[in-house]
Amino acid sequence: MTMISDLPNDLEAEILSRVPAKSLSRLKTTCKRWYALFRDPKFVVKNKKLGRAVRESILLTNHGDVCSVAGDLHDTVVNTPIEVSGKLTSLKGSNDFDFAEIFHCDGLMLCSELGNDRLVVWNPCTGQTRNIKARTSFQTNQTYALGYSTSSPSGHSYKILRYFDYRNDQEVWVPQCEIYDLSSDSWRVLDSFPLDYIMFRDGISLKGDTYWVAGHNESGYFMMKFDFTTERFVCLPLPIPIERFEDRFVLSVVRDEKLAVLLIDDSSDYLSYDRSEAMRIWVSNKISEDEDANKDLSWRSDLVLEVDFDNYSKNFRSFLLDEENKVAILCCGIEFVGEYYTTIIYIIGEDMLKEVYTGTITASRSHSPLVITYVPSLVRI
Amino acid sequence: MSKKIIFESSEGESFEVDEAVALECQTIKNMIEDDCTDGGIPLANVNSATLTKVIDYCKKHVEAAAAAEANAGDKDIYGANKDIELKTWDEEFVKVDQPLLFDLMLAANFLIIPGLLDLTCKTMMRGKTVLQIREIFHIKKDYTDAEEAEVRKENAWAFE
Repeated sequence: MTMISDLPNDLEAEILSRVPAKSLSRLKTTCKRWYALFRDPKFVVKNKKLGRAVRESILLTNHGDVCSVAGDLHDTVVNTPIEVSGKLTSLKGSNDFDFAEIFHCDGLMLCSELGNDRLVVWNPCTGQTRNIKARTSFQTNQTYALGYSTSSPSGHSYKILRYFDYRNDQEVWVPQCEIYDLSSDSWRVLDSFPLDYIMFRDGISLKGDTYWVAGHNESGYFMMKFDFTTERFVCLPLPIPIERFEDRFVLSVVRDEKLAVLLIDDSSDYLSYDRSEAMRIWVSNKISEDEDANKDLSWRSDLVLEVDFDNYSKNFRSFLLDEENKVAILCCGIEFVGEYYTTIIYIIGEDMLKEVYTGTITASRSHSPLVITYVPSLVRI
Repeated sequence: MSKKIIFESSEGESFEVDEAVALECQTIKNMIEDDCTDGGIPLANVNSATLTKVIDYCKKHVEAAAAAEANAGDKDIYGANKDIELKTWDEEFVKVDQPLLFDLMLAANFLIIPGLLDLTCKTMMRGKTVLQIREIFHIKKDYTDAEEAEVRKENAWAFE
């Protein structure tokens, strides 16, 4: 019988490149040759193409725990409760990271800390982390996004966009953008930055670029894209014109190829606790990496839902759409009367509302919770 | 009647297959295009047991592709056309012992059958521990215990 050690090296790499990244990550201690191979950028790119595996999911709870969730939440079988397993810990015994935000791009997580003291890029598949040094001191009221330039032939070149307000000499708040290049390890100010509108938090990454909802109460709202290759902002249409912003938009990405927007119609009976929510989910056309192809962003309404939630005050932050089965996973921060908080994950669909996960009830709330699905990759940061 | 191609295994046994089935192998496809398949194709490094399985695989996938084409009109509006039946068949197909799986993988690599190569590679490694992998593939551990422990915890964050 032929043994793997008898094979020519390129065939061994050929075989291993077809194995899902998560399995490879576990097998790095097999031998030194494999360990080196799994870090080889050429192999990583090849593995990304051929080893495409089951997506993994993570949950950031309302009190800052990061947990792994079994399987692909895009594809949740309606009758299975969500299995939240391991909690993220620091192996090196360094100070625990106080998670405030996680921004996902291409299998990498940009994590910022409460109070914005630290910024870390983390690959949940390999466990690798990289600390990002502050240009000036990190401050509150800022938004981060992780993206990549598609112009580089040797794999993706990752960048971080930081958007924040600062008080200038005339004591006026001025918005500013900075870019951090992971390849050169440095920050620089982005000059071509025409912002005189508000950019909302919770942007979403698709094909290396980031999308937000942005605008003004006077001018109305639109979809804003930051193109990480050209380093320019681009305005795109929202599914329907929005004049009034009530923080009731949630953006999502469907299977790494389409954008989705959840609109919650809040106009009825705003102060009543016991209310039904009219929700509508819109899905865009497929977005490609090719710049010209996505000039025409179009939307289709896929799902209109009338949902009767229980009588809690909810904070919707993230959702995932299963387009085929016409159901969505909705992750909410729940505030009980009397200052108690928890995280609940619902599956919603036509005539369906099911609670599939309930977190522990805590007396503090760091932020609103978040679910993320990603394709694990061996990419080095 | 469709054209036949004759394969010859390492034991010298002949296998007659439809050309359409043989075309699933990129290597054979090139040979057919170059018109050098007359008198059979000797496969000196593929034994009869493996070749039988490889032909089964190709036949099934040719039939499935034909069936999918016939039903193309039934695709739902999302264009999703997941062939669950074929996936189940594939899973059953690779429920074989380790040496045969290994031979299938080598044959798929040699004959260039991307689907089969993918299937066998993924199956081979699925759910195996480092110790099992070392045993199956006769890989010598070249880490000291201390080094191995170091590599295991080299990363800063992990799920408990």
